[in-house]
Amino acid sequence: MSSAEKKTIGLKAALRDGAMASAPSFPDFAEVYRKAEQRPHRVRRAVLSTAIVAVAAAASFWVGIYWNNRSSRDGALIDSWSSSSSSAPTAVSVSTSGGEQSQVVLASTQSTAVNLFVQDLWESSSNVGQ
Amino acid sequence: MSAGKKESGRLTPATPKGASDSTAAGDDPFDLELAAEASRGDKGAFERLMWRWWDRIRGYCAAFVAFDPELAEEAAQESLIRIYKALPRWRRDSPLGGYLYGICRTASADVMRTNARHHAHSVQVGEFEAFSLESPHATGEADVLREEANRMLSAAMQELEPVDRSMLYLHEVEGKGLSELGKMYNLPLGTVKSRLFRARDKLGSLLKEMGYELS
Repeated sequence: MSSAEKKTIGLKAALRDGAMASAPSFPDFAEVYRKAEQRPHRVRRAVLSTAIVAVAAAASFWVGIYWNNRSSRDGALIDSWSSSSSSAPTAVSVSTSGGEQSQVVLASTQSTAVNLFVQDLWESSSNVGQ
Repeated sequence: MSAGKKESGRLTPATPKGASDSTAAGDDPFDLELAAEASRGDKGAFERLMWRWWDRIRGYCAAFVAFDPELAEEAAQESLIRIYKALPRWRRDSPLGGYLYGICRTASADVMRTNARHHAHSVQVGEFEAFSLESPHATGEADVLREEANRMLSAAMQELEPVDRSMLYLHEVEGKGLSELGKMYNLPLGTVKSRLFRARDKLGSLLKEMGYELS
């Protein structure tokens, strides 16, 4: 073989030779069927775990929403006060989160600490309470 | 196919034997029949179809992964699994060859992605010399030289993009025309032409640095 021949690569033949030399000789059909059978299970498992995560996320979201609403309802326990002429309430109606209503009568109409506390509480919750 | 070759005067005009099984002129009716039966769950038909396509599938996968034997085996096997699972979804109005090669392409790309370490190493020109060692499989001088040339070509192929490698393989070995390649890869004709030209040019330059010439 001359040096000129040595330096030439036939692209088509070399590509074919390279491919055939590196590629597997026989297909393994048993492995194909085995893996093809396995894949749906793998996909199903992934779908199931994704669904569990999604349900857990949704559940925690709704629990959070419920908890927030419950807390804000607790802040609006004072529904009304009996005396609108007084700067401080003499009696306030309160409702529990269970829906029970009762009235608290204050002993004094003066600006005592208890009255001011109730007034503050009323003012802070009056936008949702009445 | 030959018409496709005429579209690119700079590219090799050879048309391979046996490349007419799945061409722009249409798929082999027997392949279509087997594919239809296989899509209905007939494993025998699937195996017969795959045997008929085996050389094309394994050659394409090997070219896509730059003739890496491990990756080629994994890519070919993965392609078979995906073809088996995807055949029921094959629409008979779409070309079977394009469908199968498309599956092989995505399977090979996924195999390459999951085995990225194989491609982290880029072969330097100086390393080509290492390939001139005598192969234990080669017997005569001609065999040794041919194996050496093949190893160099393989190393040079690693420098090309996987899509360019596979496109070049389909064009050179399987005789696919430019328009058919365009449909397969969803690329305009001009892009296919320029990518093939650049791939061949780059391959030629790399081999020229080692004193080899493409024919």
